[in-house]
Amino acid sequence: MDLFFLGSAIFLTLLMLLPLYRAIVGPTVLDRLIGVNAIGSKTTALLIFIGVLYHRVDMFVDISLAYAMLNFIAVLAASRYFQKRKGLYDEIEHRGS
Amino acid sequence: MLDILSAILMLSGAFVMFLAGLGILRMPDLFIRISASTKGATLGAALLLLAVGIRFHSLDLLVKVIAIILFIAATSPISAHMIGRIAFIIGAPLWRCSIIDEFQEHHGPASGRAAPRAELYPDCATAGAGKRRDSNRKP
Repeated sequence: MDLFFLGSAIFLTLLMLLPLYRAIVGPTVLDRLIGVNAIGSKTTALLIFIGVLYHRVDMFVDISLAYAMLNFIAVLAASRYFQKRKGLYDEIEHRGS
Repeated sequence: MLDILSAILMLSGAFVMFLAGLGILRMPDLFIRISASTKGATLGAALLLLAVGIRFHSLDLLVKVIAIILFIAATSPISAHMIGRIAFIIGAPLWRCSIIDEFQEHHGPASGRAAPRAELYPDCATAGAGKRRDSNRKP
């Protein structure tokens, strides 16, 4: 069963590459922001698995809760910051498909 | 018994997380990406956390895990709504096959976004777009 948790944690880590691609090459800064948000919500589940693998679940549950709060606050603050910047989409043409 | 249930929850949670990652990678538009990412990540994280919560026979771990699930379910739509609203305000372009822009009809044209004209692109008709429906939500 411990091996099952390890395999699931490795799969979750590999799954972070998909939003990481969006966070690196995403056309605008808001795409990067939702990529970072998706990585953060995957990290919340990954921290619990790390706690299971280290046999300290009671401690890592609190860390996971704190990380969920930090993710929420970061997205809120960054989106409030980018509200002030007009003309963010001027240089990007209408990309279809 | 709890092991089997935990394994089923974990596999389904990993699959839903994979669907969320695929949606955030492949979807054509910022708003559709927000939709896929938010719903998939919320359900996937809830399933994975619940799989760990019922695995160990301790009540306080289960209570804390349920608290984390409730917190994620409360805050993830708020952050998605913030990003989507600000993308509307600063004029993010829609997908070219979009057929309706209700924000523009109610609040006037936003900065620099053209009205959706899906009928110009004939390849959108296979996706069910192209025929504009009337919005009867206006009082």
